Amino acid sequence: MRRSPELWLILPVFLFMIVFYFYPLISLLSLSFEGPEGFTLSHYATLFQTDLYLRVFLRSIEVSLWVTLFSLLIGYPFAYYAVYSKVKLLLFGVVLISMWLGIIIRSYGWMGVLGDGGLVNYILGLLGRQETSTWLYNEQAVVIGMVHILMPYMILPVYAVMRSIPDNVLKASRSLGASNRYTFFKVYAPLTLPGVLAGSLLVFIQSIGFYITPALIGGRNEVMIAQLMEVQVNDLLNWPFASALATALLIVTVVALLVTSRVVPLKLLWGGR
Amino acid sequence: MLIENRLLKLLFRLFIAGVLLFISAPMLVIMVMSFNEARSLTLPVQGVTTDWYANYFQSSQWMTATVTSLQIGSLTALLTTALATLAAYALTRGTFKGKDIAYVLLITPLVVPTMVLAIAFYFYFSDLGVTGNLFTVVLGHTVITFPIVLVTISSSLQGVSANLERASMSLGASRLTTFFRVVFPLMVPGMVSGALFSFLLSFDELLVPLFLGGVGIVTLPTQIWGMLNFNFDQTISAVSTIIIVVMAFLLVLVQSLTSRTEKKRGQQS
Repeated sequence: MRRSPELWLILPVFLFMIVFYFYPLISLLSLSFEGPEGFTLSHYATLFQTDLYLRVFLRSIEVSLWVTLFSLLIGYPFAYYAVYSKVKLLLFGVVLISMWLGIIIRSYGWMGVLGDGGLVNYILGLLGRQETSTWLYNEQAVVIGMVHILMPYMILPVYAVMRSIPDNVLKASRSLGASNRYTFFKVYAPLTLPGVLAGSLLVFIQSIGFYITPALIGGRNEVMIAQLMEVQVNDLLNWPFASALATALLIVTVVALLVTSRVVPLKLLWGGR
Repeated sequence: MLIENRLLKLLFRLFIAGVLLFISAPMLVIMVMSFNEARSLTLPVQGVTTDWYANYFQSSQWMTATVTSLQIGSLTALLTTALATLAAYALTRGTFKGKDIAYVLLITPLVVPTMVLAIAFYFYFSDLGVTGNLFTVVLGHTVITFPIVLVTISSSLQGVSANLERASMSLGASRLTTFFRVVFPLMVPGMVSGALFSFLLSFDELLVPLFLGGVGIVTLPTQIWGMLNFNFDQTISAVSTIIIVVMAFLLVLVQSLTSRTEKKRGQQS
C-alpha cells in the first residue's frame, strides 16, 4: 500500500497512547514477574496454590457466565420485541437512560430495591408477610445488579443484527410450508447468532472485571477478582501480586475474545452499532 | 413477528412490561427515596421533604465534587474527541501499511477491565510522583473513553461519501480547504455525540479518581462512594435523581442529533 499523508495525523495519537496507555499497562504486567532477585514466577505460584485466590477466580468466571446467560435470556426477547414494536423510542429510551446513568447510581438503586427497607420487602409486606429480610449481600443480588447494568450491551448488538435480517427470508421460509416455530428456530435464530455472540462477549468481558456492584451489594464471602486486586494494592501494598492478578484477569479476557473471534468477526463488536 | 397465537402474544407483552419494570425499578426507587424524610433507604415514605436537595445545593463538599466532575468530564471530552478525530480521519481515509492493526490496537482499552487500567495508571503516575491532581485523572479517562469515541466518529465518517472530497478537489479546492469546508462540517455530529459519550463515561467513572485523586480530588462518584461506605444519607438519592433528569434530557439531545445526521445521509444518497 502507498503511504498517504494521513499517516502523520495518527502519529500524535499513537504517541499519546504509548505514553499514557501501552507503557503503563505493560509496566503493570511486567511487575508481576519481578521479585527481590529479579525474574520470578512466585506470584503466579501463590495465585494458583492459594485456595482462596483460585476460588475467587472461579467464582468471578461463574458469576460472569450467569450474568451473560440472564442478559441473553432477557435481552434477546426484548430486542426481538423492539424490532417490531411501535414504541421503539420508549423501549430504547428506558434502556439508554439506565445505561448512561452509570454503575454506582444503579448499584445504589438496587440497594433501595433489595435492602431491608427496600421495595421488595415493602411489596412482600403489603402481601401480608410480617418479618423483613435483606435480599442484599449474596451472589444472587450481585447477578441481578450486574444483569441490570450490562444487559444493554446485549440488547444493542442483538437488535442491530435482527434489524438487518430481511423480512423476505422469513416470508420465503413460510411460503415453503414451514411453521412459525420452525422458521424461528431454524431460520431466524441462526441468523441472529453473530449478534448473540458479540453481545455475550461484551457482557462477559465486562462482568469478569466488575468492582463496584459486587463491592456494594455482594457479600463478604462472594468477592470477585477486581475486589481482590483493590485490597492487594490499597491494604496489603503487595503490588507485584496485584499485577499477577491483573495479568491473569487480562488473560481470561483475551481468551474469551479469541474464542469468540473464531466464530464472529470482531469488527461486529465495535462496528455493529 | 413470528408469533400469531393471541395468548402467546399477550404473554410476550407482559414479559416485556416486566423487563421495563426491572430496568426502571432502581431508578424509580431512587427518585421516591430522594423525597423521603427518612435518612436511610426505607419504604414506605415517612414524609415528603426536599431537604436532601437543599442539603446537596448547600453543601460545599457536594458542590466542589460536582464542579470537579464537570471539569474532568469536559476536559476528557475535549482531549478524547480531538485525538479520536485525528485517528478516525486517518483510519477511514488514509491508506498505509498496518492500518487494521492500528485500529485494533487503539481500540484495546475497551476490553481491558477498568480496575486493571486504574491500577496501571496509579503505579505509573505514583512512580512519576504526580498523583493527586486533576490532569492525571483526565489522562486516564481519555484512555478509557477513547475507543468508544473513535468508533462513533469513524462510523459517522464512513457515512460521508469520499466522492464529496473528490468532487471538492476536482473543482480546485486544496486538500486542506476540502477538509475544513467539506469533511469537517459533516463530521461535527459524530464528534458531538462522541464527546458526549466520553463526558458521560468520565462523569460516572469511579476507579481512576479513586486511585489517582488522592485526598485532594473528590469527584461525584468518589463522593457518593465515600458516603455509601461511611456516612450514608439520602443526599445521594437527591443527587442521583438530578442526574437521572439531566441524562434523560441529554438523551433527547443525542437522539435529535443522530436523527439529523441520518437525514443528512439520506439526502446524499
